[in-house]
Amino acid sequence: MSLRIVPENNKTSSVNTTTFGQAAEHAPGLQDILRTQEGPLNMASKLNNRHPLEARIANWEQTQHDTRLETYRRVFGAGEPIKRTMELEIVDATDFKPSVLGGPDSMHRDILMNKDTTVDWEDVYKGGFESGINVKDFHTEMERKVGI
Amino acid sequence: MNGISVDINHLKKGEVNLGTSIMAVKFKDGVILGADSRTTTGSYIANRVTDKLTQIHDTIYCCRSGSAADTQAVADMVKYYLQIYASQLPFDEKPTTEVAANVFQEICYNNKDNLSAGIICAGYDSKNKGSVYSIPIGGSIHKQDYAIAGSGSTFIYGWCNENFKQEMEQDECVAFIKTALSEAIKWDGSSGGLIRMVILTEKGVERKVFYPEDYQK
Repeated sequence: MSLRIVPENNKTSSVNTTTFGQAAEHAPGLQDILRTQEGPLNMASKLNNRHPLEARIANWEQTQHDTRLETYRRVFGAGEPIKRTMELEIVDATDFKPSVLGGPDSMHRDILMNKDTTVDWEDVYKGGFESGINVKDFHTEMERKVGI
Repeated sequence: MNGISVDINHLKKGEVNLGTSIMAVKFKDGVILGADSRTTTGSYIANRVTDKLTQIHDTIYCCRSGSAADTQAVADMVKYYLQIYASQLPFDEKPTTEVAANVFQEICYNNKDNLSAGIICAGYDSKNKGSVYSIPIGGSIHKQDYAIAGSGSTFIYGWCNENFKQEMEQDECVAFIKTALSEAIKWDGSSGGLIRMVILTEKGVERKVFYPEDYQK
């Protein structure tokens, strides 16, 4: 594990029809366009004409988080990042509220990530592209969570 | 192929450049770091009184050259790392310059495709006394008695080699750095302004500034 401060520019070298969405059970080679309610998948729009900094900005938080955990691993031992990752995963696993009702409350996650005293654009535009009218419907979410 | 080709576009578009002259010298009681104070964006001098000597820990400093943004980000990261590292050391123990320099090296090497940062890390610790480490672009690490870097350093290699002495006194070392940087500033267009120095010894930190009227001959 290395100390990266610049996020990876994740240009995929190969894509297939299920790279940009979950496969449909009835047609495993394609994205489920009835569920996503976005119409047929336009892969060209997801690959071409992207801003050069988009991947960097999208991966920024995750990269900084990983580097911080790697720093703690070096200084305090492997237990430190493992404990912190465990706590975040516990919160993700136990905090459930359907996206159609607003999604899970971010209080626990904010406290763990030390963001409870700050307000950023992510707190105004919660959830990115998967919010507002583009929410996953309740059944899909529940199926995913329970593992059906 | 005639001659040596130099890539002058190595900075990303629009970036602020620390075209510079920096050096660090080990002397009898510790180390002294020195730098000019000019930051340029192309031919515009964005800051004529820049402080390129950044504190990493109590008696560990670094000189920055290359892209201003990159070096600030890396220096912040190393400072953060050293704070955490120092917090778990026994009460009266301080981090060594070697640790700081190696963290610099690791970050510069692992991010080498996206960074243009040339750094000299120098400091005083009670175990090793003064030490100077040079981390050029690419992320290699070199422990030296004195190090020079930046665009202005190319003009003073010969003079420094002839005039450096081991175990100099503090005044001798200040004069050595002042003359060296004054020559570098004289010949290099991207270096200028003040000469800033930081003296790191057992007593702590002392900062010095020399104005053009003091060092120009």
